[in-house]
Amino acid sequence: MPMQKKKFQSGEGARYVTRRAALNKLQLSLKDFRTLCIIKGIYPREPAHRRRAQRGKSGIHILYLKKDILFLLHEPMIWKLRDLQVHLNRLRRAKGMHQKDLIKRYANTIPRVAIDHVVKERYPTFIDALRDMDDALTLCCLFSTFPKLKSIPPNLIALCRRLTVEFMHVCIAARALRKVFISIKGIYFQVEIKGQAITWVIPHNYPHEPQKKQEVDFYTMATFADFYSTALGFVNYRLYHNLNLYYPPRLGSYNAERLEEEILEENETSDRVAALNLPLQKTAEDVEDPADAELDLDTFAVDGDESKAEEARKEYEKVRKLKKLFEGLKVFLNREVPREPLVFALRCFGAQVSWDETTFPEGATFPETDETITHQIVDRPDLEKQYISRYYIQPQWVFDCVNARELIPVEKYFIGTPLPPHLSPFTVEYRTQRYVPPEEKALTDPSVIVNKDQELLDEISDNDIEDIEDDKKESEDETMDADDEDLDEFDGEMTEEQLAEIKRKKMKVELGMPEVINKGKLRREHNQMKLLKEKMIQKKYRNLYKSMKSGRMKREKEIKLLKYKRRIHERTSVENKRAEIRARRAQAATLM
Amino acid sequence: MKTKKRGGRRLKKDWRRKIDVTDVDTYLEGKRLQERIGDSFSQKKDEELFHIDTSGKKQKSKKKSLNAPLKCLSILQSTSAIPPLAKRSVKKYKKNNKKDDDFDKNIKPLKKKGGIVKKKEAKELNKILKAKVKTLELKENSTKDLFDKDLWTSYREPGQRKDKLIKNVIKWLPSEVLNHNAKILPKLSNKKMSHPSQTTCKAEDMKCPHPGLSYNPTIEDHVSLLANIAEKETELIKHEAHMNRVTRNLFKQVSKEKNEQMIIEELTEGLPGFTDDTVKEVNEDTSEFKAINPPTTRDNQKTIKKRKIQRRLRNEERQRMNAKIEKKKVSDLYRLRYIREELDELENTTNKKKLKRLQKRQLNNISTRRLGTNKFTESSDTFALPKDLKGTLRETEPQGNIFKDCFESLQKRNILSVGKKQLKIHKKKVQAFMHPAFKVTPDMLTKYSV
Repeated sequence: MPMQKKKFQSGEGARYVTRRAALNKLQLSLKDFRTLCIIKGIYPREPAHRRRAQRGKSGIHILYLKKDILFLLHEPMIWKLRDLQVHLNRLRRAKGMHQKDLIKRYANTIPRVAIDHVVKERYPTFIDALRDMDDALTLCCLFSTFPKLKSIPPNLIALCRRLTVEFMHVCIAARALRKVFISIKGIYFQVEIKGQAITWVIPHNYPHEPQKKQEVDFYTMATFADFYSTALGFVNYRLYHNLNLYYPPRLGSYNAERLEEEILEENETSDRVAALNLPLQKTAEDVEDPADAELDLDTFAVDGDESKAEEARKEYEKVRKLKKLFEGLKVFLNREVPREPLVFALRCFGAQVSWDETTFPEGATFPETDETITHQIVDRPDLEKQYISRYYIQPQWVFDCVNARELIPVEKYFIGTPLPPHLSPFTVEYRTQRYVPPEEKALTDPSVIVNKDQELLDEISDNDIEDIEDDKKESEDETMDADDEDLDEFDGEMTEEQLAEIKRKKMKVELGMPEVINKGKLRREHNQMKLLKEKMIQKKYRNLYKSMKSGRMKREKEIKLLKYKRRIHERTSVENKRAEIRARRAQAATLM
Repeated sequence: MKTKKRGGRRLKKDWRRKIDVTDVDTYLEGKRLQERIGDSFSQKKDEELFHIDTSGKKQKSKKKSLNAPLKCLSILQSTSAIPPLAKRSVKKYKKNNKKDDDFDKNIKPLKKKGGIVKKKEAKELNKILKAKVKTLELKENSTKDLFDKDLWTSYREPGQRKDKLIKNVIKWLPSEVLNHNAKILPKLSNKKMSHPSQTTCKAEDMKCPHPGLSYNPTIEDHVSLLANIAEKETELIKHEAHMNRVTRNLFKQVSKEKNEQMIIEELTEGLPGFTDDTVKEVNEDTSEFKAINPPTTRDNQKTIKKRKIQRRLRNEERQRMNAKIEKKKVSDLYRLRYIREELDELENTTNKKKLKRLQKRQLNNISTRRLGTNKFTESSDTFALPKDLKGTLRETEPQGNIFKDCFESLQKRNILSVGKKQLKIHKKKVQAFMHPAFKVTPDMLTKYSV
């Protein structure tokens, strides 16, 4: 008799294990298991057939793949976690027994669980690590703003602050910033490193608001932050060394006095580093600056697609210009302006920045009274004392310049003026057929003139003034002018030319005339061809084509309608204004 | 030196035979001996051999003799004058003198003045000294920086060479040998667990903020954002209304007194003294007793004739049906080729359905899945009402919660299972009992006159 096959010995039932079974297998507490899973990147799974995976049990259990758990079993970190547990038990016992010397000894020798190898394991290549930096940076930035909290180890907060500042420094050194967006949530930054776009959010500079306990589990998030901070540290190390910089960053000269100020507790950043305003010291001289780095792009296309290659070249050229966007500017930040994001954005493109010393104690390089300052960034309706030699502009100018990839005219951003909208650089243009107002067109293509009606108005007003002034004179002069013009037409020169023409020989090379193209006919032919093509469409695609066509027509109609409306609106507004001016002038004339 | 005139010149052996080198050898031997023992006495100066005794005779201390090595060991001691060869592999420890130089540079000018040091300068000196001490202390105490190596280089540190060697050896050994020895030397095993690839959901909401979230958005963007949110909200309201209609509104709401009355009525149904007798009487008057399935009687029995007719009709019907089936069989012969087509079509449709199901499953893999008892529900998006948008950076009030967004995006990407935060800690209620010996009774109170 053959062996009876038991249920759930193979197939889906054998492939999954519940969390409880996993705990038993690994001999860990739930807390340790959670941290281990987060650090190793093992997540629970949803099976295709839950009943089968749970071996016939009803309800919903948290399930893991058995293979994943076996993978965890090989992790040397588990032993460290067990040791840690034992150590903490000893410490707790010592505390309970009031054995002071033992408490001191145990508290000082808590074993550190190193997770360096896990970073390497999870991100086999550097690019992999860079790809996952989005989450890491967002979380680290967030943790760096926290005060000391009960559920977060205090060392972690300082470490997060240190790492984010270091990362910003390396972005400045590499001129890697590409996009900035100020949202109501926070400020989004996008940098490009090794061809990878890394986007992260930093919260607005507001005091910490305590979280509700139901919303977020602090303990798990702290574990995530722990792992991500380690990964970020190693990424920073590599980035610094790629740029020939010292890794714990060094600023300028280094002597004993400075050293004393720099030496803080472990992982704390000094204000001088956090100021983001001083260049980092390099390990080697004569290294090419990333701002000046040039790439020789191939002139021939790889895949034979020349348009793509051309596009890539244009994009590269744009980025090259962007890297030196603010070079030569000297910017002073006023007190009310958020310092860190602005310094970061400005320094990433080569500007010199300084600020009021009351906002941030160190790093300010020049005072407000410096006459060579070109721009002062101000975010208040008015200033009492203003220098003539500089522009007073609002902070949005900096971010809009970065997104537009060129220096935008400052007029719209002057102090006290209502700002133009701040557009998101992260939008993806998905609809090709839509109405684009001239203001939006001007943002992408500066050659389009925006404020047409204003200029029109100016012209009108100028002309009108002249008109009124010259009204009386004109009537007198008109007859005279007409006579003069008539006389001019029949000048001596004209007759000479005619004579020369007569004298010339008949045979000559005539100027070539451009071929006359009947545009209407061409269009008609084109339409006919199109109709023929449409006839060739297969029956099954015909309805689809029809719907596409109708949609296109609809959108075109919409665009036309909107354009028409805009034209009417502009014309009426101009006419209204003109009428207004005339009325005012008439009033003035009557008063005179 | 004497040389033989004849002989080969090709090999070293030939040359050896030709040239007598004993005199050179003896000379060199003598030289080596001299090096080992030292210079010969004849070459030594007087001062090295003799000294003038001015202090007189000293008594030998016993202790010294005790400390001296045993005489029998003297044979083991080297008599050679040549110093022993130093270990070549010892690393020379390079001192990092740079900081010390800096330190000296700062201190030297103060030292040079000599004599009196001004108070101000002394303070400065003190500061520098403190810094120095602090750095030294920190150097000793603090461990290295957490991040002190490049994880992603191909460069291997000296310690790691061993692993490489093992790997190279493993390459050449057959797998049976490795597996056999793996129990003793687990390092030998070629099997390596690779990190399980886990595709998480690709919802990357952190990456693309809606343009209407700008602190100073265009009107269109802001309106579209608000419209999105309003749409979601109306859907929610609609769902809630539906749930109410289906559940709560199905049942009547009754006041408490009425409810009690109804319960009493229900419980006392049929009990004497509670119900009305009049109703009962009416019931008794109207009906006669009648069973639901009355027994059959002889009266409505079928006649034989009727039975025969029925049987005949049944047979005829059956025959007709059989004939029909036979006819169909014949006609189906012509339909054979169509049947094949039908089968193909059936197969085709089932295949299509299968594909659709697979696609759906794949889509599900990308989207958020249910990992635990609780289902993931997306919280409402952040937005600012038009009145809150001030248009300047200084006056904008931050909305939303980035920390919560982070947490929820992790849940959305199937990284975390959705759980409920346990706010209350449920402790077991412990009932306390008093030991009977300690119980106080009224008798005791009277006894002790309290």
